[in-house]
Amino acid sequence: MKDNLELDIVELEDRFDMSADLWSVAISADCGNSCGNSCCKPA
Amino acid sequence: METSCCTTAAATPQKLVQITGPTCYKPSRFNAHTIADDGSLILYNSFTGNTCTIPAAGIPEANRYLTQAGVQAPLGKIGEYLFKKGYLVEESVDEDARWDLRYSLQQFRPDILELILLSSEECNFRCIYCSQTFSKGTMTSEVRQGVRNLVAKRIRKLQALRIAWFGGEPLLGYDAIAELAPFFQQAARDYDVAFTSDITSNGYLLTRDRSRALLEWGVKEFQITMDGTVQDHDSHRPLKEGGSTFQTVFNNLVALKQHKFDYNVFIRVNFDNTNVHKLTPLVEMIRQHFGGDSRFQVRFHPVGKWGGPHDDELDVCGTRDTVQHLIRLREQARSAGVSSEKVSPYLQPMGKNVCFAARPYSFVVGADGKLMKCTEVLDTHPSNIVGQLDPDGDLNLDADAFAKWVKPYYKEDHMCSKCFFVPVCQGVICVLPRFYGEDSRSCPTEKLEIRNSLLEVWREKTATGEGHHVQLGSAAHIERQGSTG
Repeated sequence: MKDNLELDIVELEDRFDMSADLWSVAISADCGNSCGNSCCKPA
Repeated sequence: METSCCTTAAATPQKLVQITGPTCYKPSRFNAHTIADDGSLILYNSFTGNTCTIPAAGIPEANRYLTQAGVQAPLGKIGEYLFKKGYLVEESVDEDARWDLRYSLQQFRPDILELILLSSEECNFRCIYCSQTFSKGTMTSEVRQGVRNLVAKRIRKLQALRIAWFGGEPLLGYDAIAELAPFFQQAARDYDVAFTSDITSNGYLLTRDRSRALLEWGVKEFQITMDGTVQDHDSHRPLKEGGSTFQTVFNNLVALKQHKFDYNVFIRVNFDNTNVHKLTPLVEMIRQHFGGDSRFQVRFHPVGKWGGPHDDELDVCGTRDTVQHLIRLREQARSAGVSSEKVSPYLQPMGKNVCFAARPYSFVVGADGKLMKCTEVLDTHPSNIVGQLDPDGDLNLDADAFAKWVKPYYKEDHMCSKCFFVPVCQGVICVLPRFYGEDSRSCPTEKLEIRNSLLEVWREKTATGEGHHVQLGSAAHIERQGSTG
């Protein structure tokens, strides 16, 4: 691969990378939701 | 035999030696991409929810990683980035199994409770598109007691409690709210449970004192509907007895703004062909009164034939037109300096594009204690009644009726099971079509118009400068950190 360019990647949404523990992501208190109404926002 | 970029020497029984080639990679089956206005590649993955842009100069190299033929190790810097963020996966990974695992862990959680409480099933409005029957009044004292006991029994085992006030018009049942809302808030505090609460109201009875009380009880999200300026709003949303509602609702919104709390207000604007081209004055009014206050956002929503008595008279927009209207209206609001609901949350896994009715921890509690799933049909659809709450707080569920709402429909749907968008909508943006046949489903507009959706995300983030820049170069080389696969 010849991808030695210096590139500026812009992350518009960066939720998690694949080195994260998928199990923990799934059962974390915020349940992975991004619904806006979700349970993850503290009162 | 399938061909790939990799070769694996078969082990012979005699020597029991396996020779494997270099690690091979394939693009994630959950990817989607398009080209942005500036020529960069917008890349999205529905399993992670990640979205990034790769500048035009990097597209040829990115495309080599993203072709179905796959690539072999070692990866270059772009490849390492794509792998780390889930756009590229090892060839051996079963992404469907990975998705099934995540779905199961998140879907069947016993530590969340979501109650949508119909504090009143009567309404003081008669909106032209409404499908409700208004046959019941305020939530009875027995049902209030049942809700209280249900929460008291479950709270110790919860991580999260969501209470949504709905109707009818929930503020016609203000007594029930005043009785129960402080109790929920205190119970969540006592047991350190994450608590959220919201209300969907027509806003007519949302006086300044009431909105303050709701905020003090932890009700921090309001959805209030305005279907245009006075003429269009009043023709869509008149009083039950007839008569104007616009100014009272708008005045109540202005009064709500005076409260120095942290909360969110969604001003929902329902549009059909009768008002969709006449919303500019409303957006201007919202800008004048709420522009610059990030707590207030507009949320545009197409009118549908939702089963009400006036369905035949509604001039609803077609699917294709709806998408174009949504894009135009959101852009118009943004340009006018009015916060508009963003498309991004509708592209996230386990997020907004799954109906709450599909969640096993979500219940609608009727004013008479009926337990239901869908707020659109309530008890007019026999499949929607899944139990009866008793005063002791027991749910008395019909397990078979309940199971039909929460089963993983995507697994048995030949289209959903192969769709790139399945982590986002899970085949249940709306569950109701599943009751009408095996090949019956709804698809989210964000998926049907994925290219436009990605462009809208790009425009939203570009306009606000929210994107996070990652330099791929010698100074910031991304180290490979392994995989969960």
